[in-house]
Amino acid sequence: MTRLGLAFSLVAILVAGTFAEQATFSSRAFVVRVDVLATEKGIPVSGLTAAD
Amino acid sequence: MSLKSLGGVLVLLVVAGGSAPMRAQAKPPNRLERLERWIAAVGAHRPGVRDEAVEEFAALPGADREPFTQIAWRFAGFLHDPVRVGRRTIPRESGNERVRMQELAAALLKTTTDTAWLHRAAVFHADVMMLAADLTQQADLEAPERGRPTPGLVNASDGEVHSTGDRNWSLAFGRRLIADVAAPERDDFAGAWFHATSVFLLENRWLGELRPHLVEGEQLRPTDQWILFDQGTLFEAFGGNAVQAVVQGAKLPAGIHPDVPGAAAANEQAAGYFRRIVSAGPSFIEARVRYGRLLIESGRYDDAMLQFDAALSTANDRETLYFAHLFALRAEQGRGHIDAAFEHGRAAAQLFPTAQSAAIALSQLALRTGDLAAAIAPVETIRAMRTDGLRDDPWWRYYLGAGRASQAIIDAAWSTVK
Repeated sequence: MTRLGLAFSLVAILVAGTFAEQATFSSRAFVVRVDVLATEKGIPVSGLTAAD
Repeated sequence: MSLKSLGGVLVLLVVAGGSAPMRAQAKPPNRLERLERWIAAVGAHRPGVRDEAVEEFAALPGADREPFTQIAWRFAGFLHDPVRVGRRTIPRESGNERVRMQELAAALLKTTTDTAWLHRAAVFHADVMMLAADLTQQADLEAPERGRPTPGLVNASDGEVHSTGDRNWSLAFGRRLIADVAAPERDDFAGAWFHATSVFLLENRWLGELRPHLVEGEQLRPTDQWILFDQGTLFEAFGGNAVQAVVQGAKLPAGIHPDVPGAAAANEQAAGYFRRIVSAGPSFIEARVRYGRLLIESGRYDDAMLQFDAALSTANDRETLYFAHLFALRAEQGRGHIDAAFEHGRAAAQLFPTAQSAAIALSQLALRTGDLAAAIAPVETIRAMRTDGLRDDPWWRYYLGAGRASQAIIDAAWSTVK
């Protein structure tokens, strides 16, 4: 293993340990509202209605 | 599984949380009465306040929306001139209705102008969307508009589709009203209205609502810097990892696909908008920073640094400076200028000492140089700061664009309404 590769591994282990020990770092999930498109055999279908 | 059955999730959520006021009426108002209520509501509405009139129109049943918007549009014609009135018809208009609309328009024009009144009405409909969308969604579910094509919208996160919905009719009607002023391309309030509503949509990540909104805004005001900036921000958000992950992971029925461009196409469109702003004038610093970030995405590190150097020499806003330093770290790293990259990383960390994005960027940079101690130090520094998760990191707000300051923008725009 190269010196750089070893360094990557060590930091990965250390950071993973940190996360397990204490949730100090944040990651966020968020809700996003986006369009959806109806397709049939890959071709967009117009006139999608709420009743579909 | 159909979109309608997916919508069942939303039914449960809305009904469970529903505290909407009931407006039980023995007899619903006819369209002329509805028009008179609307005129009174627009006149009495205090911008930014969820009052009874906002709730009434937000809860307008799906079947009543078209008759209402038809007569309101016809009425707006009476505010202008006979030519525009003549182009706007409603089914089976009675003589009584026509005379009453003329009287109402004449009464309004004694105290205001057609343009000023349209501004007020557009603000009212923006507030109906921004302050009471819950009531509109509930009305959508209880009595959807029948037989009309409805572009689908989904609310999704982490690959889960939480609910489906329709586009907000009130926002769409507000757009028609603002487009109806004499010359929207020269009307400053039209621009302010589009920007205020757009930052609300950005802040809430209602990107599906925002897309057609800005298309129309750009058509009306093709050189409006804020509309171009919001467009750029929208496509940056589409191209960002968070939205791409949500979109790619969303579990949807067969044949239904998220209508979101891929990351490369979205970033290219975003870059195009920011480039237009930067080309038009050097003063829009944040557009320059965002353009630079997108240049990094396509590997153009030298060009990116030109943007960051220019931005850093003139920016005085702390968040904009932070972004410029954070991205300059990546550009200098791409150019192989590791010392310069470290300098930018440290400058960013000084601006926001609790921000984890700068710490992680510095750590990754050190890791690439094989300096383990330097890689761990910034991460340890952040870890040691016990702030109960309340960290101020501008990167978390980056994809909101101008939506980072939405309330101030909306308040400023609405305060000009007469």
